[in-house]
Amino acid sequence: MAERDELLEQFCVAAYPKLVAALTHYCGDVELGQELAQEALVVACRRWPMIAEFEDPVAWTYRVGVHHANSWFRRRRAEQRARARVADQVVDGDPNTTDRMAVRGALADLTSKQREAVVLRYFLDLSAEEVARLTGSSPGAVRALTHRAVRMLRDRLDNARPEEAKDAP
Amino acid sequence: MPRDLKQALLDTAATPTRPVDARGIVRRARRQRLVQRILTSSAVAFAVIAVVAGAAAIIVPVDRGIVFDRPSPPSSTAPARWADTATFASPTHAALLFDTGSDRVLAVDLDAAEFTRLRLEGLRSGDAPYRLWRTGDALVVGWGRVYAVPIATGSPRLLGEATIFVPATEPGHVWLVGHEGTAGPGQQGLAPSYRLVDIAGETREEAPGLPDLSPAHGVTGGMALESDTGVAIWDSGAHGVVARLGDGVGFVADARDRTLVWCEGDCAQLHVTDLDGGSRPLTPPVGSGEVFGARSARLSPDGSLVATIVHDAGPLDTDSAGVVVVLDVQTGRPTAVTAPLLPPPSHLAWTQDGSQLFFSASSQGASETNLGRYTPVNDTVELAVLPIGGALSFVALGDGEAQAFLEGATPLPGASPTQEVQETVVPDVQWLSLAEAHALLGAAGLTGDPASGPGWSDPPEPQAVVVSQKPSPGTRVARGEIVGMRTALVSQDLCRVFSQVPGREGDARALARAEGYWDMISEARPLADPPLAGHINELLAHRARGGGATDAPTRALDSVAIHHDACAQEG
Repeated sequence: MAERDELLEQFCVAAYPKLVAALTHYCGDVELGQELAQEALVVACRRWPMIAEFEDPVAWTYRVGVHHANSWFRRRRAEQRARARVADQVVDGDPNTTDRMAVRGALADLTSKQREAVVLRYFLDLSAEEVARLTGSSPGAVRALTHRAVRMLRDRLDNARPEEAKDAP
Repeated sequence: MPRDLKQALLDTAATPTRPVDARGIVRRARRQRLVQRILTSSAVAFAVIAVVAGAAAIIVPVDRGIVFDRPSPPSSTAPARWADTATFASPTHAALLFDTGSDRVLAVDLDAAEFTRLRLEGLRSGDAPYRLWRTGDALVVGWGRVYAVPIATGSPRLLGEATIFVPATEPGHVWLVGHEGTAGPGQQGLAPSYRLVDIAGETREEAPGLPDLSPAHGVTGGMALESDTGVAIWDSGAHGVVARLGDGVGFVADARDRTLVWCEGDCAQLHVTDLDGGSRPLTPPVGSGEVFGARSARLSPDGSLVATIVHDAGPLDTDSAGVVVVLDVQTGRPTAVTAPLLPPPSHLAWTQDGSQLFFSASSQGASETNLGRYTPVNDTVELAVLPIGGALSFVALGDGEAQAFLEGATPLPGASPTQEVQETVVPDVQWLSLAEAHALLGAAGLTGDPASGPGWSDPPEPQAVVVSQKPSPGTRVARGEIVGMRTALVSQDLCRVFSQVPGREGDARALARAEGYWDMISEARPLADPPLAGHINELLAHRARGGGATDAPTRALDSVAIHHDACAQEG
């Protein structure tokens, strides 16, 4: 038992930073991202015999965190407020805020499915096939979803860049 | 851009502002496991009582019963039309065979207004790119083991083992694609092998170790492969990729001989390319901001027309209206355009002689199917609503071809229109009326329309089990509403008990394919007591084997109960 607990603690410590980053990209709020990561890790530890067999337990745990985030948004009815807060505030301990706010603002404009797919594919480095398997979709649909999302992100980020940066070679 | 995007995501990734309490997390997980074990025992005990009560209700008729409203027929027709008259004003001399996402097809005779659901050997749930396709005088179905079903007899023939099949342009042939060492379509593994077989199962061509791209459609002498960087044309004679079309994410819609219909990226243009000659880009004729449905286009049998679906250029996962457009391949000019249709059409099929084009919207989880017909010779578009749900893509069969499916077939339970809409007495468990269910949903912070409201398919962490509705005497409920309500109930963070009643496959399938249901099942705890445990445990085993929602086995879900006490304890 103690050995297993130790293993689980190691998994939590190793996965936590990546989960916080991925879930913050998803929900736009680092404080909420931390809470979601911890809740998702509880579920992961509870289901460990099952997820230990998975190729990427962190990706599975991220999906659990996404479900928690959706529940949170529904319960609080505050997704819009949260996004507005993110756009208006500088979060302590969250430096380099100009770029972060631009990226988070662009991500917030995506649909939740697009956002989830982008984070899985480009932040957690999963292939379209792996994302499809994880989200119960098909690789083609994932490619289409992420293609559209990337285009929207690019448009949004290009528009968010300062004028002088756009003119730079 | 993806590389830039990845860098942007990495550069702007948040770092935790407080350390993780790993020990606390593990302790909480251990406590929750213990509570779950206790609750599982009490839920199983309750479920046994519920089933006994349910059985009693079946034996002794009760005055509580749900009356399924017959879905409204097209507004221009009388309610009895489905049974008494043809679907369209002039005879179609055609029948449609719909894929339903499971091992059954839905065969619809449009002129006789008859339908039946029947099992087609080889057809099974799964995320294969093609599930039901016609070549020559046979249907090709299945993945893992691919079958040909001759239309004249309906008797299946095993063509061979393959991960998936892909249409060939040679009549009576099909490509079998194998990914040795992988468990299913879309999974990564060794380089695939292709095999061109005829519907007798004879291998005509074989090629191992091919590019690991997504095989999309055969072309004469090769195969079109989808990739993130356009469409690749693999040539069987040259044993390699001989051409590439486009450089965005490639989508292949259809092919005839050496002509390929494809698009890339957001499909703002549709390309009809002669692989030995030129290419004609077609643009949506409706207005600005429209895009073609990625794989929707279908060439007419003579190749002169291409029918396709055009959407607003919004996000792909919204339910924007769709327009069916028929374009002249030579001139690029539209010959027919429908009004915007909602739900958007998703499937198209020409009849074998090219005299009619049928289009339909997916109706899984719904109680009716929107169907349209375009007749090029007199340039007419007609719309109808079939009082049958559960339809996906389809093939059109000609006059007399459907007999093997519509006549010798034994309809499955619940298959006839009469059975589909008749009064149903639901076993007396611990039912909720719709009003009570709405109130419960409201108390849980979930408001809006459970049948169509947003977010319902995204459940919180589920605990197990399911449920149904308590009919108030005389309550008349549309079937679709019940499915929606169940989906909503499934989405709640409640303790649920799972049961089953034979012959209600449609509801189960709709739920099983809903993302929320699958997520719930993936989190459900194993139950010990059959038959209640059967389906959840079966799904858990499927999940443990790496299976997904789309190929999950389904069961009927009619009788279910909410266990309030257990849920209260759990909360």
